[in-house]
Amino acid sequence: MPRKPDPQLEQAIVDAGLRLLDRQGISAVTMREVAKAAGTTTPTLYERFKDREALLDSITNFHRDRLVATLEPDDSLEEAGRKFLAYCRRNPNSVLLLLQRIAKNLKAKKQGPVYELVRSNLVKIDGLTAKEAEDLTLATSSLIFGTALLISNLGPGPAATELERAMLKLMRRLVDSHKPQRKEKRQR
Amino acid sequence: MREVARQANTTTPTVYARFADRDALLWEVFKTVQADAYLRVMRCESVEQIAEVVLRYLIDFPGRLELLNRCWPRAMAEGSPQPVLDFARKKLQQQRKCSDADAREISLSLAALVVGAAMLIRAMGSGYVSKEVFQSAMDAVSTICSP
Repeated sequence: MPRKPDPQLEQAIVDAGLRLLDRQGISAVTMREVAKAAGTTTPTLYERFKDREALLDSITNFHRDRLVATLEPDDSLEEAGRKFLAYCRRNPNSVLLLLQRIAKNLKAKKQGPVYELVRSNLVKIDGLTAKEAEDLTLATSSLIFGTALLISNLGPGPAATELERAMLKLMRRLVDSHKPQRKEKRQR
Repeated sequence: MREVARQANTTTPTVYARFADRDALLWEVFKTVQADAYLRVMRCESVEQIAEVVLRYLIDFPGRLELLNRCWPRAMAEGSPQPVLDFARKKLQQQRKCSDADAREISLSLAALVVGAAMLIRAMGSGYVSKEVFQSAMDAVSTICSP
């Protein structure tokens, strides 16, 4: 029997999933628990979301959209990195989901908004070939995600601050080392 | 605790007699993993080699990668020994002739880079792009480590 789309119900379900994620982490987000938290039944949930992965996708979209909303197109790489970490600090349980999403995109050769932002920042560097920009984007993404993961497990404090500062410094060093004069020096 | 008891051919009460709770047990396992990782890097002659060995290690042992993510914060907060990181820091200082503070900062961020790359590669599974993530991480380490 064809079902009527019910955006309100679907939103309530995603919201319930988000709350569960926030309070208890990814493993707590099961179809049964989400149905309960949303005040509906599991069969109803399965009518709206094919499976757990589909539900997690919607939840990830929410976080991705909210993260992207904090970024400006003319943000420097450092600013973007800072904002990304700030978002991950406020939403520690979203980091793994965002990481899985970028991994999925990379594998499918898709480029999500965050990846694009980093890449567009890097291609501006003089003398950087397209391949080098791509590589640097991958390395920067690994760096940002690694830092975000570690910080999300750390909670606020001097260690988190140290990690963030180290990340930003490394990003600066990586970009600087690709500037033409430095590169020439290295290749001599 | 129950699974560990089963695997170790002992009883759950026995495990609890030696480890207050699951966290305490995981912490001890973590220290063992740290020592194991150190054995693998101690013969490395450069920071680049260390990074490659560690990255491969974390990809080959995803459970240990998860454990690292879970336990490293405590290690950082408590200031407990981190043999691989400390070793990398010393090598970095030799290689790059930088200050102690710089070496600390750089080795910390390189560690984050390696962890991030490992997580991405695990999430992607095998394939061409995985290799690109691996190579790009190694290239970045190499760039940073040259004097």
